[in-house]
Amino acid sequence: MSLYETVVGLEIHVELATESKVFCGCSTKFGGEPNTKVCPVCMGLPGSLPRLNEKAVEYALRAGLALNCEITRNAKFDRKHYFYPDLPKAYQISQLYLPLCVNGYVDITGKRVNIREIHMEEDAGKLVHDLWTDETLVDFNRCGVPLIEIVTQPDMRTADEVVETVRAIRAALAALGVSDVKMQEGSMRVDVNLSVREFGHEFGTRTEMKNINSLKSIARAVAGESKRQIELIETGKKITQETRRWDDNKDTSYAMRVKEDAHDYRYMPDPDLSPFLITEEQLTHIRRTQPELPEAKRLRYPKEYGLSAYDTDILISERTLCVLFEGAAEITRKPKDTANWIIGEVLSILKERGEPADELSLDKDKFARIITLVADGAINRAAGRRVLRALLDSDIDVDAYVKQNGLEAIGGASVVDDAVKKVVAANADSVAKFRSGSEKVFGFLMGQVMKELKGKGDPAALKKALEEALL
Amino acid sequence: MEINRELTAHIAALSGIRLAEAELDQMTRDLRSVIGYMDTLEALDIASVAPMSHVQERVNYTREDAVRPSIPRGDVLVNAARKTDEYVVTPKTFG
Ligand SMILES: [Zn+2]
Repeated sequence: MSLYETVVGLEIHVELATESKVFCGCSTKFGGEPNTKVCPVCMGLPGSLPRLNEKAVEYALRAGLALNCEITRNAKFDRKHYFYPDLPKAYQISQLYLPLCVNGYVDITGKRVNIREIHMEEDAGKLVHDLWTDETLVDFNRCGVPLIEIVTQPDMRTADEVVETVRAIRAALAALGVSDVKMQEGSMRVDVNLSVREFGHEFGTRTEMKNINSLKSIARAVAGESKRQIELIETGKKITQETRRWDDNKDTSYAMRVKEDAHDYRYMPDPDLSPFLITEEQLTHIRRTQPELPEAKRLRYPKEYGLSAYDTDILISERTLCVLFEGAAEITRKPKDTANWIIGEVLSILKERGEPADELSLDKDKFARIITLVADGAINRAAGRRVLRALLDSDIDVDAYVKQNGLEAIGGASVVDDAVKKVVAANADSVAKFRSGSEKVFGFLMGQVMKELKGKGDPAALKKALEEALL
Repeated sequence: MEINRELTAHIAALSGIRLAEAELDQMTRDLRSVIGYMDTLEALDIASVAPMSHVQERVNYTREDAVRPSIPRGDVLVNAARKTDEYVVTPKTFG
């Protein structure tokens, strides 16, 4: 196996988070009744004229600048012709000759992945297969939703590099707010172009894999397709250049049936759309108002908040975590504590529940309140965890919840002292063992006192009281 | 570019147009004369002229990102040869 090297390039389609479509005023909102967000422009009816959404251009430029691209100053749109039921115009408006952004890159661990171009285009409709009638139903709602397609160079060599590249691009786009980059919902779609070759040889024949809708399946698809191609080579068979569909359930890909001439797209400049010029002014404005990118946070978090590189990497991998962290840390004034609560508690609860971190929405004020209550000893950490779970379930009032559930730490000296006295009296053996040097039993005694206080003691106060009693 | 019957048939197929034999001949002749004229244009010296994709002078004809009402679904589906209350129906196709 080690004779071979895998070579991967990516084509990533990303839906831009505009309110309206790229060439008409129809809504881009996800879901809803089929064929209700459609008009003569996005259906390509004769006599209709497209008009470019300036926000879509701005978002595409933001993405291009964030991914270190050069910007094409005199951009234009072209028509890409093909017949398919999801494309009512019979052509897709795209950019072949003058893509908006070119020659960018994204840095991953130990290497630079080059981005050949980012071009703007429009999405197609959705086909639903009707199992009863064995026919296909067409919903045009997604027709004309603005997309950017990010095309990388074939610079990746391992599944890890591919996943890291997608992660980095996704984190940057999320930080910019130009897309909600949800792979499951299809607002970010990754096509993997993959070939294998013996080390030192020329590139092999590549295949393109579609329908990969999670980071996990990207890694599996890269491994699976490499294996398939290597097996073909080793048994003396040929690799066909083709589009394949990844089937995550079967852990394999299969060739998609495509018409022979499908790639003869007969591109031509779209005569309905005027060329658009990107001015220096516009670029300056965008640069000045560009949100902080994960790369910048990577430098800032350790410096400003004293976080470790490890914790920083976890936080900057998701925009939602950055927003929560920065918001809550400003209130708690305890950045390290805040980071620990996110990484140690919030993320493990999400993981246990199988909920993705990119959909996390936690009120920063309420979250900060929990951290402060624990830090001040008003509730103990276990109680804090319980409140956090409740807050992740529904929009509770933190202080009211603590009170209603009697979670306040029992820190009043007399209550704690009483409990300590009781435990010391009831456990003479253990106390004697401790006094003769067996420190292990201290934990047991602590546990007994905590039990006496029904789990609501402030551990610090309790420890102090017990230590004094045992002197 | 050599315009012959095969090429015309190929372009017709790509465009989803069915041409009868006689039409194929006529179309081939027409295309040949159109493309032939392009050869005449190709002979011009345009080294000093910037490439131009559009004849109108207007650029940056853009719009604000604002949602406007779409059209009623009945109107969307009205031209479909086959439909349900909600969808256009086509023969089995893979998404
Ligand atoms: Zn529309």
